[in-house]
Parts: sequence; C-alpha cells; structure tokens
Amino acid sequence: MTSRAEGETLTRTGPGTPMGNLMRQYWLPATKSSELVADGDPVRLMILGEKLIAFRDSSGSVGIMDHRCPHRCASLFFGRNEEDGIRCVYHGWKFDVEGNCVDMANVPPSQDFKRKVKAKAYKATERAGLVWVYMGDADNVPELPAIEATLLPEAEVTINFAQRECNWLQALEGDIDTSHFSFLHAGSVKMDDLPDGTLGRFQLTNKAPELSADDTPWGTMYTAFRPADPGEIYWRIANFMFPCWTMQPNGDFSHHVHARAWVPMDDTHVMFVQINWSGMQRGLSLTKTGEPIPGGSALGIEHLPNTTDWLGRYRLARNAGNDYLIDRKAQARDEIYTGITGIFEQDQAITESMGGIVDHEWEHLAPSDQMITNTRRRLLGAIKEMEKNTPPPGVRDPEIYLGARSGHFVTADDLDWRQAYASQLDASTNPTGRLRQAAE
Amino acid sequence: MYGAYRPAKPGFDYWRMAHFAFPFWAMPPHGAIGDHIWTRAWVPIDDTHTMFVEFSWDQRTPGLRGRKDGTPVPGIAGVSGYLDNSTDWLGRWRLAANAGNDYQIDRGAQAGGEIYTGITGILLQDQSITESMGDIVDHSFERLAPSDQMITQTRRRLLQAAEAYQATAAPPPGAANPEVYAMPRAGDYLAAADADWTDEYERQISDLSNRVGPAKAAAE
Repeated sequence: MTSRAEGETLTRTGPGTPMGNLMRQYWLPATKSSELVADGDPVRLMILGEKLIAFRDSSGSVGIMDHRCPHRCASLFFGRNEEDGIRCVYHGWKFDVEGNCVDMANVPPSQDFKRKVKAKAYKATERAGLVWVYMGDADNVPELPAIEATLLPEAEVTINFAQRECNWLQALEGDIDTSHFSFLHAGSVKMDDLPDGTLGRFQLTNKAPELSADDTPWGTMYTAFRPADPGEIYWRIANFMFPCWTMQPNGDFSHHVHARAWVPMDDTHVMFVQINWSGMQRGLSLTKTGEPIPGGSALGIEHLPNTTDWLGRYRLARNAGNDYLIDRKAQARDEIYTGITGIFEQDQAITESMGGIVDHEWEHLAPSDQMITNTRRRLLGAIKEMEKNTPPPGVRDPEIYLGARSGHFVTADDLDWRQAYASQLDASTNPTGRLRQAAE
Repeated sequence: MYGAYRPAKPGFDYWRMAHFAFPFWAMPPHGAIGDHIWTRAWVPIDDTHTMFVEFSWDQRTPGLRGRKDGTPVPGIAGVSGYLDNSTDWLGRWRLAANAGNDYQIDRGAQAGGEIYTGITGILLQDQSITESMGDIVDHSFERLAPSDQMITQTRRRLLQAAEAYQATAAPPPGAANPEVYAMPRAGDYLAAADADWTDEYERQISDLSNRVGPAKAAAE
C-alpha cells in the first residue's frame, strides 16, 4: 500500500520537491525538433511546474529558459527572436541560447552590466527528432540516456506527443499494468475477429495472467505469463526506466524498438512522448480484415489544434469535456468494451477519471499491481539514495538502458522468465547495434 | 519624481520628467510640460487585478504619436476595444485583446520590424508585458538596473510610508494635505546642458500659465 505521504513524494515534481529533484537529474524530452523554427515564434513550455520558453536562434541552436526576463520578469514569450538571440520587448535586453545577456539596450554604456546578468537558461540539445532539456545542476550535466529507440536515425522513427490532464505517475502506471489490456482495450474483441496465429490471442483466452516483477539496473521489469499452446508459455514483458520512461509489451519482442516518456508538465498535466521505430511490428491491434480491433482508431491519436498556451500543446479531441465521445450504445451492444474509440483515448479517459492526482489511500492494490508497487518502491528508494548523494539509476551510467527491451513472445514452458528474457534479447533484431544483454 | 535626459541640440539636453504620487498615481512624461495635465491611477481591485483610471486634459498637446507625414507611429494607432462589461466583480473594462489571445500579437509585423512588439496599442503593449510577469511578480527573480532607479526609490518611499503608518498612525503623504497634488507636472522640455535639474524643473513649472493650484507647498 502507498500512504498519502508517499503519494505526495511520488507525484509532486515542482522545484525543491524530492521527486522534482530526482527528475531534474535527467535529460527530458521537451518538444519535437520540428516545433522550433529558426528565428520563429518562441514556444511556451510547462515542464516540472516551471514556465519556460523554447526558441531556435538564427544559427539553428535551441534555447530553453525560464520565460521571465531576469531584469523585471517580463515574459520572453513576447520577445523578438532575432539575430542569434531572444530580445525582451520591454527594455530591449537580449539573451543568447545559453542565457548570456548580449545586449542591455536601455542602459547607458558606462553603466552597462550585461556580463553580470544571465537569463535562467537550461541545457538543451537534440537527438532522434526531439529537443531535450536538462533542468538540473549546470556544473554536473549527464549524458543523454542510451535508450535504444532514441539512438535511431531521425528518419527511422515516428514521434507522437499527447497531453494528458492528470499526474505523471498514474499516467505512466497504465503502461506497466498489463492485465487491463484484455478489458479496457480488448474486452469486446472476439477470437474470431483476429488473424490466425496472432500472438496476442492468448490475452483473450486467459484474462488473468500470473505476474512476476523484478528490479533492474534501469528501473523495474515485469512479465505477465499464461499458458499458450500445450507445452508453451505466452510471455509479455514491459519495463519502467528512470525517471519517467516505459516500454510497453504489445508487439513482437524481437522488433519492438520504442520508448514512451511521461514528462511531468505540472502536477496535474503530463506530456506523453512516444518514439517508435519504423521496423516495429504491432501486437494485438488489427482484425483479420486489417481493420483496427473494435474500439481501435484507424487515425491514431486525434489532437485539437495546438495553441500558444502553457497547456495548449497536443490536447486530445476526445477529452474529459466531452466524455471522450463515449458511445454508450456501442458499449451496451458489446462492440466496444468502453464505448470509447482509440486505445490511447481509453487509457486517457481512465487515468484522467482518477482525478488530477489519485488519492493513493483510496486504492486497493491487487496481485496484478505488483509491478506498480515495485516501481513506486524503486522510485522512493532512489529518492532516499539521492539524499545520501547517490545519483539515481541512469544518470552517471546512461548505458544501462541498453539492457532493456519489451514485447511478447512464446517459449517452451520449462524456462525461468529471466532466462527467457535473456535468450530473446540475444536473438533480437538490433537496429542500433548497441542493444546488449544487461551484464548485471 | 524622475528626470530622464539625453543630449539634444548643442548646449541643450532633452528632459522627460515624470512623477509618482501617493498612493497609486502616476504622471507620465509624454508631452510638452506647458499643457501636459495628465494623470493616471492604478487602483487595486484585488491583489491580482488593477483598475486603470486615466485623466487627460482635452486641450493638451499629445507627445510622440504621429510621424511627420501625419500618420500614426506604427503600433500606436488602433487601440483595441473593450469586451462588453459584465456584472461580475471583475467584469468591468476588460480588454478585447488580452492574455487569452496573446494580445492579438502580429508576429509578422514584429519580425518585419513594423511594430517592435507585434502588439498594437501603447496601453496594450504595457498590459501584455506587466501581465506576463505573473499575477504578482517574484521580486527575488529581478535584477534591477540603473534604469530602474525611480522604481527602487518609489518602492522604498511606499514601504517607509506604510511602516510609519503602522508604527505611529502618521498619515501618508497627501492624505492630510491634499493640496500637494496640485504641485507636480510631468512632461518634456529642453534645458541648458549646465542647468541644475531640480532648479530647472522648478523654473519650468513656476512659469506655467495654466496652473490650478500652488506651485510650492507652503510648509516645504
């Protein structure tokens, strides 16, 4: 069980909070690279409860900084992005992407003190089509995490963003909670709907799998397993990776190169960032006629138009304000288990329905929630270790992520799950050439 | 009071004089001091809303508003309108261009150099900037510059008056002697480069023909 006090520690990520301090040890995905245009409009970002602006200067470098001009706190959102810097329109002070004040236009030259002034800028960089930000100690900047999907060439990945209106942790926990798939997403899917031989069919024949969960160097990992054909086991494996990443199990393990980040915007909003390899093979998602499974969406996530608001990016068209366009008739006829169209939207509806921040003392965790319990414990443990100046996993050892892969597969039923995992990892497609078995 | 100056024609400086008056009045400098009867109040509604009240003499000469061909300075004309007043506590005199629509910023005009901010209307430019600081600015985040001396001084004056009132119930300036408000006048003028700035200011306002009150307080 998670106490209310532990829940507070796990969910609050603003400046100075324990989890906020942990999150600020890591590089976090902030925007798509394509959102920032050289000399284009600054973009408002909310990350870890901080209001930031992002812009791309004339030379193509990206700056991410507190939105307030350090002079009198006017917002640099209204600033002029020109000639390799952002210029505050209040008094004409100008800052480069590193926050250096390069012009103090309203002060007579004899009194100029621009060398002593810095905007509160964070480290920013780009990889895999993403802009990354590091909001921690500038004298101690780590390397980017070696998460497999983020090492792929930009041309081989598809990136999706989606904003969710709830705390980051309850959103992330949906990704490491395997047994909901058979209900929330596939509760109305019939065996006859599926192509012959679809691995995911075992989720329909047995909706109450056994679960094993373990700590790993990069976080936590679980397997959900159930009998497949005689003498065989159907395994589904997924990962939590520090500080807010997951790999979900719904796809063939050998090609399932992807990663999902749940980046806290503030304590009740989270940005979902998904990086999928073009060579991925999806799991249970299509019927034998090639249509999305009932309740699936052929269009993927449908967004509202982005606005310039702090919380205006990548909101969903089906949202709390319209009950996610639930179709109660389709639900009653058992065509769509939830009545809600879109696998992502189904997760969105459920995790947002828990409230902005779930009340952990109201929960009754079950054996099926073991991975969630383990992950919360692992996060709390890492916070405790940080108090003793031990950096959390992946900060000083970014290569540890290369031991992580998720997905589903079938093996003979005489294997231990960690053995099964190791042998699958050995046999997997390795598009970056860097996937390796965790040495530990 | 402050005076901002810069060199004008040889031997002369161009002065812009402005005033803060207790507790929330300002007299900005944009206009010739001779007929610049213009006052603005910033009346607190609550801690995160303020009502702006402006008094302007209809015979005053406007300051920097037009170009030499008679057209308005870019970004100044066409002050946007108001939303309809509502009966709400905060429903009066809200602007149509506001934070919810980014003050109708025109990024093209900003990038093209036609309107520095991209926002049309002087009041609106000030509105966007001051609202963008957040409801109550975090003063610990500021780095005040020499250009902010008037702000520093005004804050100090307000704190002193508030502390004095707390300690001894001493009435703050103007509360018990309202005639002092008739003394100040803001505005611009040219002065000899070697003139003392306060002497010159006294000379400028003592010459005014359109005063409605005393130029000096009796007791000061």
